[in-house]
Amino acid sequence: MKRTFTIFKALTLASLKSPSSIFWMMIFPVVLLLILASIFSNIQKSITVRVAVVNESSTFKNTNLDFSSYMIKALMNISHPYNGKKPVLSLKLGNNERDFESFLSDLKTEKLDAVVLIPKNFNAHVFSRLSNLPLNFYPQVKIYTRSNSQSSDIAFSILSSVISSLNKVFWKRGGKKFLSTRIEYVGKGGNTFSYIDFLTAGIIVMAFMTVSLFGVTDDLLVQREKKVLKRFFVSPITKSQYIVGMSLSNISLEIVQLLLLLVAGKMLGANLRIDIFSISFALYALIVSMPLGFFVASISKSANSGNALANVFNFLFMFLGGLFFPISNVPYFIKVIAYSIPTTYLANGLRSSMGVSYSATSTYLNVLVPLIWAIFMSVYAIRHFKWEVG
Amino acid sequence: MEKKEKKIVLEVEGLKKFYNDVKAVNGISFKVFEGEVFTLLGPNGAGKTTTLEILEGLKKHDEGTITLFGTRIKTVLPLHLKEKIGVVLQENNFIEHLSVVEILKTFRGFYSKGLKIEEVLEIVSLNEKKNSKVEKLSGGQRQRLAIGVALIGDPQLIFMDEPTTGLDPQARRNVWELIIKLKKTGKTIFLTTHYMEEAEFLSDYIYIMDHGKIIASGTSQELIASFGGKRVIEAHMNVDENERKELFSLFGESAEFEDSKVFLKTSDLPRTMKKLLDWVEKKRISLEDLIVRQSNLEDVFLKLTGRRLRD
Repeated sequence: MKRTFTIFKALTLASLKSPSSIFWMMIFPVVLLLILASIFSNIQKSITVRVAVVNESSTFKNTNLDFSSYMIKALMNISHPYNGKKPVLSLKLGNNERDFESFLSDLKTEKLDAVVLIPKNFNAHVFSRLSNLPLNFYPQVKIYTRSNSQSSDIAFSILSSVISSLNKVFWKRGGKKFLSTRIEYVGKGGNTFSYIDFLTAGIIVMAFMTVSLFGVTDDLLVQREKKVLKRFFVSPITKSQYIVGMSLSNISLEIVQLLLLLVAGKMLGANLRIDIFSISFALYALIVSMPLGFFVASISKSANSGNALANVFNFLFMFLGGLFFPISNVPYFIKVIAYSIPTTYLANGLRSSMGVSYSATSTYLNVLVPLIWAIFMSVYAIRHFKWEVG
Repeated sequence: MEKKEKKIVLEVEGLKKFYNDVKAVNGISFKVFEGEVFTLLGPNGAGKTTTLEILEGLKKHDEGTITLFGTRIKTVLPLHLKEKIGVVLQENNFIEHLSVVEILKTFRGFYSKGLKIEEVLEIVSLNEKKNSKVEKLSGGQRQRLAIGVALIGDPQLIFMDEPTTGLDPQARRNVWELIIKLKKTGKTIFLTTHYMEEAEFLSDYIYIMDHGKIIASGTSQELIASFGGKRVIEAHMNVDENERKELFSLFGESAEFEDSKVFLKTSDLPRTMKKLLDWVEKKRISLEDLIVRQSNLEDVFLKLTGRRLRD
């Protein structure tokens, strides 16, 4: 324990005395937060997306089986101001083809951000699915958006979340009590989409990943190349004591980072919920990010190649993990990659736990996927990392 | 006789380490006694560092036995034995951005007992530099810090792998003085070097190593005596093949050539010198850069391998 603490102390002190470490670990994430928040200040403010719903469903009108009305009620619930904040969406309603054409025209001229079409046979199809009738009916709602429009993307993301949640309720509860889930679609801490909230949580995950990728890689590869590790291991200290000490050092720096980013986010107007759940998830994210650096170190032959690989992973995980922008409407092949990497789930999980936005992935996956990555990378690193050059 | 009364600190028997077809260490055996400076002398690539790294617990050996402080070492050097040894590596780097004191404190934290930081700073004469960052130290100062780090746990045995390689003559002298100072405090020192002056100056006992094997051992006096002469006459002379043969027949095994340079080892300097000068005069050969010097370990190595230590 004393030896582990000694390593922890030495590496932490060295990091705190290193100008480049201080910059990349502490200053850079805050500066990036500031820059992105400034550039995208228009979406930094709470925005309201404009959605129109055309309900053409005619069967089971005014009965308990009017499922389309439940969907509209769910959307109406998030179209009212909440706790004095602007609503997440403004809603227009229509019920015929003429309304639909008019809304589509508004969508094209950017007067609307999305149009939802509930088809004529929607209620009947939902009923047949719920009743397990042997009919091949699949209830379907169509969402029309503009391509390359951020507000349309956000609208799509919100609508997808609502529909996805309704689906779960339809199948699980038979439609009887599904209204009780309405508030979950719009986030737990407030019902507005705020870019600064979204970004702060993303940058926290980025900061954890960066420390792991560059901090751990440096502690292992550079120190290995300079024979600093060799010098340690002829002293009475084991490799596991070194690894634990090094990890504790990085974790402590990341906790400082987390606090700095939370303070910076708050100063920029972020409304993040800080409680036992969000802090626990942040610590979880921090710990499961750590093996990434070990993994990169174990597949790199030198400090130079390790640095190059760390940059590749950094870019891949940073931009495809939805840390800075939502990935709900990216092309399919990118989505496949995005939903394969741990940062997507860590960012989703952290945002969800901080009440930033509804997570497109379940809490279960947000915990499990990064854990599987962490276990794989740890096992690989333990088996393949070479403590000596050559 | 005296050696038998001393305690054995380290005993190595039939040690082997192979890298595929390369026999880096090929069945070496030796004993290191308490309080002595034991030296492995050999050229680069002889297997000295590999031997040392096996003994320090950095590498596994393929065959042979190692007994350190009475404990047989199998693969990993246990921590309680690491507490008893100090190591100066061939290349000594430390965590950047830390000061000399911080480095010493860090290493002190690994040992359950040891010297005070101030004591070590005093021994290695780094008091004035104690707050300097390691990257600001000169080569000699960095090497003294490495020795300080090796001393911090108050070890009984100190391994030093070519501790003066790359140092300027003054810094080398300082390290030598430090080693002598340590020896006086009763420390056992296991040294590797390819500098014959260093081995000769510091060692109580020398093992000459080449191509993974021990080719000779003894005190420096014993080794030089085994070479066959106390002095060496060196000179450059332009001779053809016949004249070279004539010289060999005149001086026998005591004559050696290296390009145009002749080496004549002798225990009877006036007689050998007269013989050489008579022959040169008779043959009308010009002699250049004639010198007479004491025999040294370089001559021993040349005799044993046909190569020089620095080759």
